[in-house]
Amino acid sequence: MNRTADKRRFWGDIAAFAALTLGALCMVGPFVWMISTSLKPIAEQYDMRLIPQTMTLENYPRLVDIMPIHLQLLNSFIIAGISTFGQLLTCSMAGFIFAVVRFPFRNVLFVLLLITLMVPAQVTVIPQFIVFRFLGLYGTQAPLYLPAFLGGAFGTFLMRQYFLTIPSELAEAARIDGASLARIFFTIYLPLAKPALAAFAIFAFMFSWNDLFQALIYLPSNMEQTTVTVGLALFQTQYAGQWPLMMAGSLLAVAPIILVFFFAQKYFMGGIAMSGLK
Amino acid sequence: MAQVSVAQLKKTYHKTDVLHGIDFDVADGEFVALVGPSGCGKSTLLRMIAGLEDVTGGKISIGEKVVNDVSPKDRDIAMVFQNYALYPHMTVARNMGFSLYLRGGAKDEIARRVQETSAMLGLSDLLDRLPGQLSGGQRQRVAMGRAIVRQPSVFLFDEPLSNLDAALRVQMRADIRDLHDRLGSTSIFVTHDQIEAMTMSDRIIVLRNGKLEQAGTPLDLYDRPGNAFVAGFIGSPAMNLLPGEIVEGEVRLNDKLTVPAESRAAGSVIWGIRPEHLDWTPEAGSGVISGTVTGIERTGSSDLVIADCSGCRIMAVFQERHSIERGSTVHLRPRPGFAHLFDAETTVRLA
Repeated sequence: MNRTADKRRFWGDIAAFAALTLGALCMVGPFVWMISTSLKPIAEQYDMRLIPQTMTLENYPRLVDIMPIHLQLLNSFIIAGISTFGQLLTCSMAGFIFAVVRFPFRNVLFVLLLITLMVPAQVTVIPQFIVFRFLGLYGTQAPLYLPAFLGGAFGTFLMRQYFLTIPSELAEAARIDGASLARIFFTIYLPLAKPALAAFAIFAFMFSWNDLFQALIYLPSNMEQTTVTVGLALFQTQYAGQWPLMMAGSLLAVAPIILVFFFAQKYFMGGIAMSGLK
Repeated sequence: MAQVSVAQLKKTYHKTDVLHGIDFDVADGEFVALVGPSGCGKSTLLRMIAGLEDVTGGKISIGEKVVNDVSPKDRDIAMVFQNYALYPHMTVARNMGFSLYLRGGAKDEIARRVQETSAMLGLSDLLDRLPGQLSGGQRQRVAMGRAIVRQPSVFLFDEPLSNLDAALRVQMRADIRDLHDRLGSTSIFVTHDQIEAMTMSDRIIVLRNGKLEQAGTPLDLYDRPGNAFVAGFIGSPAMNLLPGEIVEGEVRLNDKLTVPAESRAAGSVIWGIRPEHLDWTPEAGSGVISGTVTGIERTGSSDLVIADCSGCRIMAVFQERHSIERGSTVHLRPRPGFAHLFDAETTVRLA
């Protein structure tokens, strides 16, 4: 009886393990292929071996010769960095207010905020474009990071949920101790929200880094001033068929994200579990 | 130091009345316990005194000043929370010094006062620890220290002992009372545990359903409970309360059970006797309650006997050990002069 149960569990584990391995291979496969192709000479690009016959790093300097990918990476980094900072600052503030301060229509306003999650970015792009052109910011990086300083529904929601887990007595004790609302936020709630901030920082950074649509709209379309996502898209049209170069560029574009994932996966997983979304 | 006075205090949450006009005064230097079953409004009342809840109606004064609209930090109070509410990312020293720091105290002055207070509470070796590295009892002390270091006029305690184990609770009871006497401050202590209230306070205020049931010294409440609720709430094990009818100088509890009335009252009453005021007698007789033992709890120092007396459940406590066992018959004589009578309708004490 017990042995059959054990046996069944054993085969169940095997099946689950096999399914997970298969899933992992499907996810990792394209990345491995990308690395492999980026290390092949152009002449061997259609050679289907996983380990290149001739391994070379020549694609990387050649890519930089053709396209200033280092400048594009820098642009991406600046834009993603500033907008991540903006999102962290404003979303944590808004989340704190929604979680801690009692005010009339708080829940109604919060639901309204959540409803904006359902509005696709494409809907607001034209009015937003008109505003930024009116402000004389068209052609600069500002339109890509300024909106981040105006908060965001997802981040506000995420931070609010986290702040709700902090016992309200902490804020009350601080009020009795003589702390102002700003003091409570910066000295007590923000330091305690580090895990949530880290998780959200990864989301925000990745979102901004991967953005192609807005960058394509607002940035000048020359290779030096654009981001790496736009750069790769342009490269793909101009140098079609040069897969090793393309893969070298793609690898450079995703490398920062992979690094961030690698070092912060603990927070990232925590963040997903916490938000209960996605 | 200051007295606290609460006048016609009302609180309404979402159209539900939580407090219906509470009146009481706490004298300067007095230790007052607010007790009552959960949901009676005692914590809400304390939080209103602290300024953490708005006042719906009535007045709260600390010292001579009405503080209804004064912010918590300007009320000259300190509060110890049930879960301690220590800042988890700050050391013990920073936790304790935080309020002084916010008031712009000089660094060495803050350090000196934190040192002093921590020495008083035996926390000197723990100043660099984080709250997460402390035991429950130590956290409790830090929470106390954080309140003491500010030298407030009024200390507010919101069930500060309920997260401690029993032995520690007994010790902290004495320690808190001791600190109160040494600091000479005014203290208001919320608890649902009547033993805490009895042992620590100068005066007890009993609340139920947002109303003040009775206020008085612990022994007042024990000896002369103002109504059946207070009678049942104060004292452990709880007073036996049985409905009955006064007929010809006797309380008729049911067809078979009568006890002396010791009062000129008449009509429907509630007759009460504390378990410790029922004496063991070897034989049945007039005015003696006889019953079958249905439960017995021996603590070593005393025996708690639960008996079914013609359908009434009665508890008795004996200091001496009698040969009693489950199922045996027990005879109990109410000690003369120790029974209580309450009006059956209003539950108010009858003279």
